[in-house]
Amino acid sequence: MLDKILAKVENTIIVGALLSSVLALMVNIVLRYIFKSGLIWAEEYARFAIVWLTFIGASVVIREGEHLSVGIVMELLKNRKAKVFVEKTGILLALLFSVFLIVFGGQLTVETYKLGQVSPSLQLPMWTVYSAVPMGGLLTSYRFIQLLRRKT
Amino acid sequence: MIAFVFVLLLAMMLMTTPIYVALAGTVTVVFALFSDIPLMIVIQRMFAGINKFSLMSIPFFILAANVMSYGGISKRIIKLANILVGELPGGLAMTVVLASMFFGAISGSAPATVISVGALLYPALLEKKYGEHFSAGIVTASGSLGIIIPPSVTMIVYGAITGASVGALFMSGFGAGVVFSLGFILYAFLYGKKHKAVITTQTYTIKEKIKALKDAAWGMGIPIIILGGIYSGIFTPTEASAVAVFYALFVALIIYREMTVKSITQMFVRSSVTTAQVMILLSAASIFAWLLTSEGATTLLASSMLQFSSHPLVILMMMNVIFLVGGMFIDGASLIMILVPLIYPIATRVGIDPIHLGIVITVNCAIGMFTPPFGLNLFVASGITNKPLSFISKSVLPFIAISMVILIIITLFPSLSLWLPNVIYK
Amino acid sequence: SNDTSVITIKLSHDLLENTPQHVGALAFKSEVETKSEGRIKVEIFPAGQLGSDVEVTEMMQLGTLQAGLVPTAKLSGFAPELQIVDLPFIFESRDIAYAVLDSEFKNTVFESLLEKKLKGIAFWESGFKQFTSNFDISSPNDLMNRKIRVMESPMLIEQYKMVGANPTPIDFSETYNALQQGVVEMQENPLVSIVNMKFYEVQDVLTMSNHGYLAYAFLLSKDFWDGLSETDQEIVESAAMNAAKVEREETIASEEVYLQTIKDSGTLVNEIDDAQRAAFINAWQPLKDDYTHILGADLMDQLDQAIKDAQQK
Ligand code: NA
Ligand code: NA
Repeated sequence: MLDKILAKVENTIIVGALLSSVLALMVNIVLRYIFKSGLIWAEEYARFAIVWLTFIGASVVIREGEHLSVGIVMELLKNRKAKVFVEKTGILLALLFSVFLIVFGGQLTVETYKLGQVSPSLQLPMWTVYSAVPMGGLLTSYRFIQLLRRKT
Repeated sequence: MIAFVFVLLLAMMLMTTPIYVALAGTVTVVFALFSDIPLMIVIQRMFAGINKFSLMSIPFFILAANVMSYGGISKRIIKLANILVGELPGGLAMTVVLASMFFGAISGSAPATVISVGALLYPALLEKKYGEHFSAGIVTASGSLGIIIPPSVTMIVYGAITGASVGALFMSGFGAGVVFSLGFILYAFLYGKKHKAVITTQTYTIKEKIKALKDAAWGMGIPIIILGGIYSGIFTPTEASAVAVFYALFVALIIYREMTVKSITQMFVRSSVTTAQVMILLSAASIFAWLLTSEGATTLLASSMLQFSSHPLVILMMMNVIFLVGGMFIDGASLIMILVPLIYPIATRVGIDPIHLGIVITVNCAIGMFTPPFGLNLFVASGITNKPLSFISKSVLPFIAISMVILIIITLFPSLSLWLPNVIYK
Repeated sequence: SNDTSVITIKLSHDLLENTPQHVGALAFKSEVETKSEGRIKVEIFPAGQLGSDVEVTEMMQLGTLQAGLVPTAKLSGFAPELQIVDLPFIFESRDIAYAVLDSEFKNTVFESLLEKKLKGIAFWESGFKQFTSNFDISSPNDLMNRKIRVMESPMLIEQYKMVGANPTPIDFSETYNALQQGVVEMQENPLVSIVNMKFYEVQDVLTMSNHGYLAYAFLLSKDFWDGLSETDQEIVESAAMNAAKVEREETIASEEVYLQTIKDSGTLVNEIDDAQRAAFINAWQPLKDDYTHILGADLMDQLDQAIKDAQQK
């Protein structure tokens, strides 16, 4: 149940980010050529949307079992125990890195919030953009824990 | 220290951890052990690495290609390609190469090309009694035309780092792509001659031929829009990718009309997933590149390469070796993110044309897509053929050999790729 | 460098190695290393190798980088006060700019950076900004409806909207292509950038307007600064100030060469006269008023006073 809701939320965010950014750029081109004035913020918006897509999408990639890795070792190893060991170690390393993203991404978000930096065009507080990182860390941690607990 | 970095990276990769974790994780460990730099730098550089407007065209070219693919372009392109070369010896295999070229002109990604062309043609090849290894090999290798023929994710990343004109890179990609295709087509022809059984018997009427051409022409409008739009100054390369999405939607929804609400939703999700897959890798590659730069690897590499020789061709050949070895383990776009900042200053110092360099590097990355043990083409080919990675890895060996020859030709003769931008921009 | 007693300053700037900025950076390095008798080591990273201007500034805030040269316009998101230097026609000559930016006013304007964990210690320059375009520019009306590339700075965008132009923020590295391909028709930059980025190759006219001053702030990470002994702080600060002189002299000398390069390429070089300059100043007067509330009336008064003092010298 939780998984289903989470998947829906994730999909909505990443598809929304992709579609809205392509739309912003398209509108910008049309405005520039027909009305001689563009959306100053379109570029910046597209960048931030794709950053969000990337970090939230990282979790979706794991959900879909599509993260890229050098899997050849798994084929070369014949011993089942050795296989399990290598696979679980790989996932454990990934989980550790996700926790790193939560802790230090969170720290970066908080620091940026305290320093009050805003984006040049949208005047958006930069911490809202940076928060994509700890958020992505949180979601990927959840996915890696799922993988770790899965029977092989 | 730099040796330690690469050993750690390789060790993490062999533990089958996701490559983005291996890249960024290595940097994290190195910073934690050897420096007092706050670890927040890893986060900040991962963020900065993808917060670039020029990289925004990656998701859009992925989306445009998926719209065309889900919308029904693949089978139309394949039909057209089959009409053009299908009746020759080795015709169906040539069809694979030609269709990959056509699809490459819509897609900016190699694995997408393998899926779109291979999923339909691999079974057809087996049916016509082409060998399993040959069939898997040609589908896997031809997919790399996806990043040599413009648009190309690899060239976009190269342009983003060096400031080289993406328009000029795209135009040079045509020449290189044709040379690359000819190599594979020749091999297909010889293979067909040798195994006489593999000749297509299907023939088409003139009317069918014209209809096929008209059908596929809609899809082929995308490269015209992209190159025409960039060249005429109507929009930037990044904006061109957004326009390509709208054009693709128009063709898929108004002209072809094969999509359902369900397939549209699925297409958007797929595109976002592929985007995240590519971008998180670029993000991690970016912090890895930062580590190498700030640790002085640029100077180190430059002095050791230049000590060997400062002849442009020798430098280019050394770069080929570095990229081919790197390409065995890392995805091409990420490899560019890591190596180009180190190599570019050396190349420009010895007088190598930045566009030619970009094309040579792109071809290297294209080959890297199907060199084992890591290659996106290998992975998706394993998926569509239902064969293990080790099988596919063996299938591509003759194609790797052919590609090496083509790579050397493209390296030695810059004019093969540079003639088109030279004609247009001068 | 495993010797922990050696302090390393990594210094980032965004221009190539053959520019006055790099010459200045080398002068800074040499003075710091000599005066500290090797206790402080300076590593220079040119051409934005370590990141863009904004990214480099963030690194200094976080303490992951020690020093950077950043155009003041790029600091708008960190401390809007720094934009005061970017107001059009604010300095009528180089001498006045130098006098103001080396005076007590320097410390006043840099003060806003401290709470952002940045320490400003000197102003370097890129020079006065000029227009390049594919058409003649002699009055603000000539900018009407024109697509101009500007730095990503709210004030610069506002400045060009004010004269009816269509300002488009485009990344520095993408500007050449954008000009070549006609995405934008003109841009503004000092000669050093016009020549090093080869903008003149894709533009027909250079208009010597001196319409704005592009200053680089020499910034340090505040954490790093606070960790230095007083002696070392003095060494670093005076080296940055002395290097500023080197960099400015080098810029002035180079500008003659740059101008010749542009002329030799066949690009037309125009100069605007006093009456034309007055028309531009007039058109942009409201910008100064609009920005008084953002920059603070106090700061604005202090700037006016500093300029007056400089003029009397
Ligand atoms: Na392509
Ligand atoms: Na490979």
